[in-house]
Amino acid sequence: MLDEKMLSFYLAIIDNIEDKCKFEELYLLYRFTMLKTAENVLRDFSLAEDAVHEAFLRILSHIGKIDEIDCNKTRAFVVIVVKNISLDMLRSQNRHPITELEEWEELPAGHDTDPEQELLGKESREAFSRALSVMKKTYADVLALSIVYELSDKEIAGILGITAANVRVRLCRGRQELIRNFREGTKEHGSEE
Amino acid sequence: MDLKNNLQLKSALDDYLYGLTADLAPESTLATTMVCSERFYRRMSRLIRKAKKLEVKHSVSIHSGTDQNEEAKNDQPVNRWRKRFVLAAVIITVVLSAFSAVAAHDKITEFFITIYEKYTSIVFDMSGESAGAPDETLTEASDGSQAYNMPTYIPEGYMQTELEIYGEHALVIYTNSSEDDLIFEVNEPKNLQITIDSENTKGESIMIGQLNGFYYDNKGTQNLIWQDSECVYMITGQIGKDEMIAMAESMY
Repeated sequence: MLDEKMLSFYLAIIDNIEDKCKFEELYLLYRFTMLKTAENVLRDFSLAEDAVHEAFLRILSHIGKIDEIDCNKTRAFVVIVVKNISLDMLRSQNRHPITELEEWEELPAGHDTDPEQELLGKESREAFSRALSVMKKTYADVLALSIVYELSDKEIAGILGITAANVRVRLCRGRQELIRNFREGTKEHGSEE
Repeated sequence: MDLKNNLQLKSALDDYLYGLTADLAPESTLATTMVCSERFYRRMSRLIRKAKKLEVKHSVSIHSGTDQNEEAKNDQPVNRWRKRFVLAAVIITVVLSAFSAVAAHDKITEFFITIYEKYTSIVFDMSGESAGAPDETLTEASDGSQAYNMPTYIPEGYMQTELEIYGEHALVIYTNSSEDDLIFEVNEPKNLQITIDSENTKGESIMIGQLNGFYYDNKGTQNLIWQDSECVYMITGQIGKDEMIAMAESMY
């Protein structure tokens, strides 16, 4: 068993060196950002603490996906996670799970076809930015998690606490809304010119 | 057009992400305006402990893999010498301890220390007869999860508030009315690592029935570690040595 001398030896050799893991760094760097984000949604600091705890619990399972801790991309990532958790908490608190009901439908017919082809050659960063700025935030978040953070449907589902099928629905609708907004934006922009 | 690989859309999404945080004050400013509850800090420190354990496991697999060259690159000469010295001393100590363990008829046959840049951990490993033997104390619960041997004596005022079982690790938290936590952990010894912080630590060998254990007081928090033929157990709390031993002995 653990001999006293040996354990004393072990204990003596352990350095008082910094013992922060990646997860702890994330926590120290963004806890208040996350609390503020959650509080903005929930309007209750105690609930915001619950949301942040839940967010860190989910992030822990996907910590390997985070390369750099101190950057805006990671700050935005933790904001997306905690904001979505807070919104879910707010919905369940108000007993109006509207979004889930709205979103839990079959994928629209013909979703496999590629209307995105129409945009070929017309797209620009500004046009996409305009389209994103007016689209539903839950769709924009899922698009960002998929395209920027390169998370799989299953990973997004784990992070947001929804089913993978629901992620696919949001992605599909997000793309459709993006294209719709893009077309409208392009028209308006064209007429202004 | 493939939206997923569209660089313009990626750039636009970067703008979107920037917009998400643009209205938020910097973390340092927010820190001055918020006061978190004790409960929040307690829950988060538990989560961080869990993260550290996971990271230790991950780091072990990396260290045994292809990242060894990178580790060597970062290894400073002073650390290298220190590690060599420490490892040599550890090997001697482990050998001596193995003899004393055999003499005491302990079933523990192997454990070793691993020293990394940022932490040191003790690795328990169950080998020999008991390793592959059918498990008598770990029974299968009705839901298929492992049911662990638990203390039947809990210090007065404490009640079980949390139970987490993940993989080969079980964690039970007992809390009293002052919200002091008493943590009981069970680990299956195979490939188990325990990280110990030695700062301001006093330790001593104690007996739990016929089993050897190690007790230490670290910054006002007491810890008791012991191992029987099946598992490694750890109690952490502020209840004092006698109560900890009483808890441990109630399991046998």
